[in-house]
Amino acid sequence: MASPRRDGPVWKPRAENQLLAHDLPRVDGPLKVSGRARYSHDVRLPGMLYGRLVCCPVPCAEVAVDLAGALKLPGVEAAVVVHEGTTRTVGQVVAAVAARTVEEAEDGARAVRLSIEELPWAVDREQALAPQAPAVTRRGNRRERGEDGDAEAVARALAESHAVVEATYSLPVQHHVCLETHGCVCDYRGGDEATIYASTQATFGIARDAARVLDIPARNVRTIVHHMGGGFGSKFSLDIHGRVACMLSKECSRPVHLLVDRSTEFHTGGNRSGSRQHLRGGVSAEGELTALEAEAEMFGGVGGGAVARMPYIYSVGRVHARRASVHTHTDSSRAMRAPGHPQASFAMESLVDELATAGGFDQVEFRKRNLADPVYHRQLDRVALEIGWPGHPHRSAPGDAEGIEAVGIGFGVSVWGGGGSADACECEVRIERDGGVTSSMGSQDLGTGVRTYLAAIVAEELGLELSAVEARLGDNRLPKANASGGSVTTGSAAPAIKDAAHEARVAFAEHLAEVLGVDTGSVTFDGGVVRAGKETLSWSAACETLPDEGLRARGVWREHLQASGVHGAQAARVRVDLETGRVRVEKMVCVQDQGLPLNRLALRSQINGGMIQALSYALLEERLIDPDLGLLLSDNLEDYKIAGSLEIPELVAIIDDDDERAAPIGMAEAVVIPGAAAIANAIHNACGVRLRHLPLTPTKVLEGLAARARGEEVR
Amino acid sequence: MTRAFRPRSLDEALALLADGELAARAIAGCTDVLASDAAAGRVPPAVVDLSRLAELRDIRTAGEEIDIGAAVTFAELRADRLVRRHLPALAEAAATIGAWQIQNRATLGGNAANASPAGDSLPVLLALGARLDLASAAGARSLAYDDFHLDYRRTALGPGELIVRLRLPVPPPGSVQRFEKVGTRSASAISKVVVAFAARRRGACIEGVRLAAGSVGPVPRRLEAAEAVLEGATPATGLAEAAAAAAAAEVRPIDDVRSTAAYRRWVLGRLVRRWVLDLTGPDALSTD
Ligand SMILES: Cc1cc2nc3c(=O)[nH]c(=O)nc-3n(C[C@H](O)[C@H](O)[C@H](O)COP(=O)(O)OP(=O)(O)OC[C@H]3O[C@@H](n4cnc5c(N)ncnc54)[C@H](O)[C@@H]3O)c2cc1C
Repeated sequence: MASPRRDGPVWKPRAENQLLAHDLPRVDGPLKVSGRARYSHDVRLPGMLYGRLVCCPVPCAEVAVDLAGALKLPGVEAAVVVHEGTTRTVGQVVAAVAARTVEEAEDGARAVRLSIEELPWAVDREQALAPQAPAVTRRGNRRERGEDGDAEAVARALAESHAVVEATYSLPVQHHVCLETHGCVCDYRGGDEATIYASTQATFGIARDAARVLDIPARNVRTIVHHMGGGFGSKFSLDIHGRVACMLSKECSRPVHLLVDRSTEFHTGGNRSGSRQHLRGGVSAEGELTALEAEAEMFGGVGGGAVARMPYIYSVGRVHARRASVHTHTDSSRAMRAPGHPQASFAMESLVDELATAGGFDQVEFRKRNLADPVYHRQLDRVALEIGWPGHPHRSAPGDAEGIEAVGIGFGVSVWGGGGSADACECEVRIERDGGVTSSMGSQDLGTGVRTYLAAIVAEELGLELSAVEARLGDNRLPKANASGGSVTTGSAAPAIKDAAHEARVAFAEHLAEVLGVDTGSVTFDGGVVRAGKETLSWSAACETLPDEGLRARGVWREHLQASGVHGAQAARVRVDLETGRVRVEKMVCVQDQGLPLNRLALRSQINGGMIQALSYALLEERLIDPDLGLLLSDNLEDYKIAGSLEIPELVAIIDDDDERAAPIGMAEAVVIPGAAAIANAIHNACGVRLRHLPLTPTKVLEGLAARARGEEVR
Repeated sequence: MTRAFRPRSLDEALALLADGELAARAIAGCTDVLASDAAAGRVPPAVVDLSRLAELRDIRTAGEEIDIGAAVTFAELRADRLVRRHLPALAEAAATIGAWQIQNRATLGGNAANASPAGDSLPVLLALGARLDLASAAGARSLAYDDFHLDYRRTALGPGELIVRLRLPVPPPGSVQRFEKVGTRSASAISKVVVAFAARRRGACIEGVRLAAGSVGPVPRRLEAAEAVLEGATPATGLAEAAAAAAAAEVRPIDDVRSTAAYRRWVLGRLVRRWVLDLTGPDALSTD
């Protein structure tokens, strides 16, 4: 262990760590698997009421609300009008009820009378773009969102290309499907203080909104997010659910528990926008991408939607790209794990695959040829080896779809920033006289493992075991932190934690040097003991020398303790049942870099989770709205299927140790990006069926096989 | 408020169900009742729990029959030695109902009485030639399961009548049974198509063919046209295709949130074809 110096913190080389860069089981794991972790859903307070929302059953209407019937029911203690007048989305929240039990609240919600004058609506692309379509926004149903590049140059380059592929790719609206639904418990009992227990990605961000609804000073609102059941980008604000909880609580001066049911979650919890992308790409005889013409439509409901910029990751000679939002009377899209990227990846990786096939190139070599960054070359080689590409029979042309099943392999790559936000986080480390150590930051752990590295970075610095440091987070009374989204948390939080740990160690060393009369430079912390000059003290004996108030150190963000820019490559191997069209993903491999891997186990879990979410998106997930009735059909987990344990393939998550950057980078978004494309490409590789529209259902596989047998191409 | 009764004898249960004023409904595992009542906001005035009725709770052999109480759960069925040995298709079907938590509660009688076109055990009961013992306060009767499903969610059960037992013949040696459920995913999924098949080889001939499917029309049904193609036939080129075509032609599936009619028809045909081809192969799922 190096001796403390005043020259600022640096991350140790990977091999010198005792905890970091190892597999660390998450510190809150036992609490979670035993059910003792208290989520916002689990909060129970004296006198607490349960809230339920009333949603408008048609996509667009003039609505008036009558609460009288609900207020007459036994157990109903409060009811509020949330919205009257014109509604704009399927299932928009218009009223809410709070009652002593969930059942009474549900009865109350049913007893709210809505007078509905239905207005014309549009819930899908065709309806939105029809000539007489009702206007969803004041600025129309189709809005141009930007254009880059030179169309004529692209047209010329395409004309000169060796082969050109033109195709339309589409992706449905996907839901976040957080295990914990949206909402909060608002503990307001009159007066000018409140506590909000929220399921949120922004512990600090929601207090002001809550204060405004409760009409109390923002400084008096405490927010608590001790355990969080997933957000994936859908929980950055107090949201309609949290606002209504505060309205109800204000109305009756009692705590209100309002965490929505699954149907309301599907109607109002946001989504990843759908998209339709029309691409025309060219390739030279040598296998270089020559040109790309890209036109994307984004289906974000009343929101804008997202599709990442084209060309996605690959280098292309000439590019012309346009994007437009197509609006419908449906819930607004929100950020969702790598917003816009899986959509762009699916279209781009599919096109790249098609161009490689058109030119007769090996899929891996073709990709490497068109990827400028050499990191992708080593990552693609690694996943190719791991998935069995070198011995695979169909490397430059697909299988022939003979027999009853076919096996194929597909690829995709990913990118993300992952750097931290300057000065967004602070950390406090305290060492107590009794030997206790706490590491505190108000940030939230969405299930990502923040709590574990909040303790581990400090334990590493002080030479202690992981269990010797208590991590405290999820509370806006703790040192400040930013919202968790965009994979910024690690890059924002870890530097401040490291800085605080370093400050604590230096301060403790200086204190001990003075007490023991030795040189500060001779004080080291390792293996739970402290060495000072010739003396060796146990940790607790060393701590006993501290004054009654112990020792406190504050850490701030330091730019050099984080980095940014991550890369990943993924491969999928599928088995296609040629008789029933069922696709079994047998294996997925991911190689991912992230600078210094703070906790290898948590990182592999993130990678696995990303691949699973992508598999589910590829094969199963799709929001379905009946275009004639304007009803959300998939408002439950039976009709909106996500992958279950039997769908999960062999998952190989590889941390890219060839990445020698010595600081951590956020990577959780990157790993969800390329999986869907890799699976679609693998299906094509297996049996020559190119599926351009997610989800990749058995019906589509069979249609593709039938078309292939007839010698046709399905578009 | 719902009144709940937990009778200890069948007669007591039947008397409660016959009481017009009580307007009680039978409940077994409650896996359908709770879900459908909650969805419809319905609160039944009274319920009669069948789970304590000894007459409905066991599995035995009676002569050439396996005799199953209507309130036996799918978890019990899938673990039962007799069922696994003689009725492997039923054991397989039991293992695909929902997931473990559901199988621990859901009953065979409840699945039949609920009469969903997608009920996974129903094609098996048809293919294995089940008979039902029914009882009401007015008396007992026996009914071929073939005559049980009348129309969409309508059965031959009279008011206050219960399924007491389900009797399935022990298949003769050399019989094969097949079951396949095609859902949106591998577990916890409602069927897009569910098919069951029973037949045996005698010499070169196929006989005793019973083929039934669910989720391809308003009621689970025998595939009589396909059966006719196969009954007494000798394996020959084109036989499997002919049976598949007959099966696909005789059903009336619909498009819905889970699947398209075209897919259901196609997959039904492919499964029938595969089974017929397998029937001559070594890996048929055979009973002894
Ligand atoms: C999450 C979930 C997943 C499911 N998955 C599947 C699946 O994969 N496949 C499938 O087929 N089903 C599935 N089901 C439906 C359900 O579990 C089955 O239909 C089950 O067999 C019903 O049995 P039960 O004992 O729970 O019936 P109950 O809900 O208790 O009763 C259902 C109906 O049958 C009547 N009834 C019950 N027993 C008798 C009797 N002995 N005589 C006369 N009438 C009777 C009741 O009055 C009621 O009308 C699922 C249900 C849930 C909630």
